[in-house]
Amino acid sequence: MSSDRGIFQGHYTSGKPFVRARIVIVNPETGRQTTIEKNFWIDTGFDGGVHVAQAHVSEIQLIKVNPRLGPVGLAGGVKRPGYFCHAYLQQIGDHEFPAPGIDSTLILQGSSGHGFLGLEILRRFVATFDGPHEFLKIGQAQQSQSREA
Amino acid sequence: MALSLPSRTVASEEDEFKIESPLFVVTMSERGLYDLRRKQHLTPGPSFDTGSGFFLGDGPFQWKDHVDKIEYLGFSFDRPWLPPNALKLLDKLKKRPISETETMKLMGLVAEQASLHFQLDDDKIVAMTFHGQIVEVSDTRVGLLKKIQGQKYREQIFVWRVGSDVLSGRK
Repeated sequence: MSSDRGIFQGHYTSGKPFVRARIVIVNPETGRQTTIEKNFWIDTGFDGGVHVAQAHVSEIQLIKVNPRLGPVGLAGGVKRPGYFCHAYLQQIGDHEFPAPGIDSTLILQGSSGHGFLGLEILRRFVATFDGPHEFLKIGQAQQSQSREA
Repeated sequence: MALSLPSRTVASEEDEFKIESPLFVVTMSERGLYDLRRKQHLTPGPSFDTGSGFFLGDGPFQWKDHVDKIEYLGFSFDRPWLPPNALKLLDKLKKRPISETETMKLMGLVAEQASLHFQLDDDKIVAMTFHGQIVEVSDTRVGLLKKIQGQKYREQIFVWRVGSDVLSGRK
């Protein structure tokens, strides 16, 4: 399987597949929005969309969006309460997605300095993890290869 | 073996009142009088409100004036009957914040009862109050979160996947 349009390619950082990405949270009632831009670890064991530290809740509340409480599963089978809201993934690396971006679940939990991008995002793309060369490549799937989300 | 009763007790109601006992005669007289009055609407039946003493505000209580203002403390169709341990946690939550473990426990208890009460299918994504009232349902996480984004609710809500104890997570 091959991809026809490249979105991101680059070497791992500290032995892990990180990408720079930008997400936007929008209040649909007022049109106000806030942006989170940081490094995200591409995590194939994460079934959600985007995961960032809980500290971002206060930024989101400034636009009158209240992330809602819900149960989050963590590595090792641990379960913790976290906060959930809707967000758009607008950019990975230098690649900007057409507005408003890719619909995604945003989880706010924990205190990690970097975020996580999970399968909810990856299922739209062809991602190649070249372990021996520590190289990550993300491409847009060909139309015939993509499945309806 | 067939069941049998003493002959005096198998008699019909009419026969019973024919028993020549002073006690039964008195009973028959009182009952007859009551039935007669009831038929003539002279006295209310035992379930009638005699209209005495129940006032709300300046005038006599009128159910139709207050029916939408009364908060039902007992069973309600729009929320499940919560177990005592959930109610204890809700009471505690009113007074002070509860721990992460207690929060997880409370969400689990409420979601389980609400899922049973409303017969929700597994894997449905729901938003509900901590009293188990469902405010939104969707087939997908993104769909639900999009619906509730920016909405205001009278009570605090949480999100849940029916039939699972996590909405999303890492393995």
